[in-house]
Amino acid sequence: MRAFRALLLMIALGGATTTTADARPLEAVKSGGVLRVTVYRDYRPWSWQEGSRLKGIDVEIGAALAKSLGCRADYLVLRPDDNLNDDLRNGVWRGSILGDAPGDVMLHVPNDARLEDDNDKIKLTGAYQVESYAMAVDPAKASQAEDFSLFEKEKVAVDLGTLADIILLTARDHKLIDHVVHVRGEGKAAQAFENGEVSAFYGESALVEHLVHTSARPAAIVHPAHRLVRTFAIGGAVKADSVDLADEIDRQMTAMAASGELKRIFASYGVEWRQPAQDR
Amino acid sequence: MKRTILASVSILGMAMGGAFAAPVTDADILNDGKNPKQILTNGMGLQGQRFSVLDKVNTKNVQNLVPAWSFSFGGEKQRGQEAQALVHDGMVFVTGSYSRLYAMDAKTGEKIWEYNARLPEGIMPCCDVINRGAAIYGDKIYFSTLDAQLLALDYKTGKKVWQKTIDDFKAGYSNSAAPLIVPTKANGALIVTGVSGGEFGVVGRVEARDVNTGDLVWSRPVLEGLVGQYKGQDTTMTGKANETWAGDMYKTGGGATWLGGTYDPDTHLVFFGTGNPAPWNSWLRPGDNKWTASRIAIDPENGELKWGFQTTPHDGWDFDGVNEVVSFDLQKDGKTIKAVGTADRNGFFYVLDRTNGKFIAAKPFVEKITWAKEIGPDGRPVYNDEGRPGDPTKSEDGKKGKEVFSVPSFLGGKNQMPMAYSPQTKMFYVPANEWGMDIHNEPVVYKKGAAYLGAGFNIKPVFDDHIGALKAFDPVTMTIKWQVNNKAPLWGGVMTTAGGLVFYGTPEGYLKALDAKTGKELWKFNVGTGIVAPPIAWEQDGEEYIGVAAGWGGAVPLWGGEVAKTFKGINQGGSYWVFKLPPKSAAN
Repeated sequence: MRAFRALLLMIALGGATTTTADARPLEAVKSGGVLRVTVYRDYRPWSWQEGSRLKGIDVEIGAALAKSLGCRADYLVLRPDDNLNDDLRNGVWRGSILGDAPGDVMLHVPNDARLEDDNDKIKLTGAYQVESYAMAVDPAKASQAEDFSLFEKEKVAVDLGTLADIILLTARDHKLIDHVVHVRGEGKAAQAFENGEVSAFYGESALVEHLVHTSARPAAIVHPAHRLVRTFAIGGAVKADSVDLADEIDRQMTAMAASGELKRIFASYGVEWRQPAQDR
Repeated sequence: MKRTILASVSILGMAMGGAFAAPVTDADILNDGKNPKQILTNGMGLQGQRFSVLDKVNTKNVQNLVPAWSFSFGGEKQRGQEAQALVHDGMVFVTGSYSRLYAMDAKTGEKIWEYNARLPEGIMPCCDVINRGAAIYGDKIYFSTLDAQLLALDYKTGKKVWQKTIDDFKAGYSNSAAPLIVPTKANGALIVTGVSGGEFGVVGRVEARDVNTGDLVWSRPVLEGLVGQYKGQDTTMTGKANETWAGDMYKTGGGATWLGGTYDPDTHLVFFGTGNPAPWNSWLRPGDNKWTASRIAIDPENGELKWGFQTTPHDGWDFDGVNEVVSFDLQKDGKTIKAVGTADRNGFFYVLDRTNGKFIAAKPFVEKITWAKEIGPDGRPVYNDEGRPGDPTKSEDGKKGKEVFSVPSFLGGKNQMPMAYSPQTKMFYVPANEWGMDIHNEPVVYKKGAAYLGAGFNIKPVFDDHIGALKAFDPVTMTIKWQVNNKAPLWGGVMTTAGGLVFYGTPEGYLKALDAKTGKELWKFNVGTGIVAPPIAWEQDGEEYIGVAAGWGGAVPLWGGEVAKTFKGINQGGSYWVFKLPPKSAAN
């Protein structure tokens, strides 16, 4: 049951109680002096704990947004649930089943209008990155990785249960299955690569770029073509009735793009900033 | 001071008045199904028959049943209450939602103690914050928590004696099943548990711990290729690596043992069911994927796997194989066979030889099954190829994909709610649900902030007027003798008694008593909220008491669509209800 629930869409959420947390208008956030920002847990390079410190691109964007509102950021570090609708419930509009309050804004929400259709209690805010999938590979073998043929004989590491995993298990008519090494935790694929256990690792672009940036073993980054590869924009989400807060976040995000702040934040994690189209 | 003295006196009085004040022994546990004065095991006996030998309440007088007492779990934590209660030493013990445990005076319902597990931030229970009950042995009571801890409390005071971590809740592990106590020669009584969890990488295993210390004695992984442990040393591998799995997928292949197990003293075997394989998309994992969606038998002395039987090889429908394995004696062709019965998610009722796991028979217990034509003489399903969900990796980009209607739905012909077996009528009473699911591929899905490949599921009733159906299943002729339909899905479990009765609760809030022979409804009482827990019966001061936890919740209300219409307006709750005959009609 659990596996299937992971893929459920557009199903009523959360049981009988659907009390929505009250939206705080912009003025209330500003006068309170705190912007509550929801970020994902254990999600390099976006948001992760290192020692007692919360680090990452989303963490810094949250801090910059808070600063621009004259506030400090307070983070709700969210454990991802089975699907994004659950995450929006826990992180934006209701809070967790154990009673933790949701954030004022959640970062790292795919900027896809369908989410608003499926979740009438949230409103999307401006996109700040275009994300896709990438592979880090031994530079000498890069050309064979482009069509995945390398992995009919050599090993490739991937984080379990991700789209990258499904792509590897599907590619070349399922012929790679015996050479896919599954790891749990985003740093582990790079470790397997550094240790020489695998010839490549595959995952979300930002993660791969970040890990290559910090890796001791030289790696080329390639983008193998596959039907299932997706490119998507990442933005934020607020409660549906937080209209003035959403507008302010959009304004500040645009200003951070223009000033080079976003580019700087991404670069400090070894990730290329890819500006989303401004048509939303 | 005066109050303290009075309190001690009342506890002393109770202890003396009860016939079973002594610590729970092996003999007590082994005799649980035959001694109605206490209920020590989930399943009302280790074999899990849920049959009470009591006949004081029977087909002739059950219509007189009235409430004896009711107890509120209190607080704001009113979610699904799925636990069966235990009775010992004049007390009723029951777990509640959010990993709580209550001890009540069995006669009056007065609270004796309450234990609230402190749950950490960030737990992510799969299917509501339920718990399915406790186990009792010696002077301790045991239960597991949503953050995957196993707790032992002093049953008299509710004070914690020890706590052991089953696994890391941060890695997705949880626990909600009632632990199982099994007496062994090698290591005394052991406390046996499975694992549950909702994330990728959670792998099923069965573990046994010392009842006194909680120290791990053995561990048996359910997936072929993984190695067991005995007292910290590696033992045998379960099956052979890569015989039924490709690549390294057996290391993370699912098979969670989340519903707990039963034990059969005749064969000295522990029976567990195992969950569906991961990932859900069957096209990504060629092979039978043993032992997911299976029943397995384990030697409690050393944790060795004795047999396995896979109900859904290469599962593609999310048919967990966790449903309970109930031991019974099958009288067929003049012989008595040591058998087990199990009603699978996949809609078929299986009878197996419990000494060796050999297939005897399987027939549908729900209607209009689409995924398989039948179960063949070798025990393997004869698949309907068009009934398997398509490979979502083959779907056209940006399109929704072909829709398949599959019966049963992934919530199963029967889910977690336990069935009962009556040695008197020789029938199983199966709380079944008639529902299917539309399955379609979703071109764009997101998970943890990233794109993902998904499928959409929409559960639908098969019939207009009901989803739930309590079925009397004859394991000799493999036919349904009678059934009683229920509008909402059944989620509560069943008990049968020597009084010729079948008791079960409904989401509509009724605890009902049926004639075990005919299914005729003889009594019902509405407890004011949905019932999703199994009832029990026990004897006290010469009278028969019937008890059940009440409180709507569990996995069903997490689903919307057409199914939700059947339980619209049912309120949540959290209480324990007890019934008995009024004094003047107590005599037969």
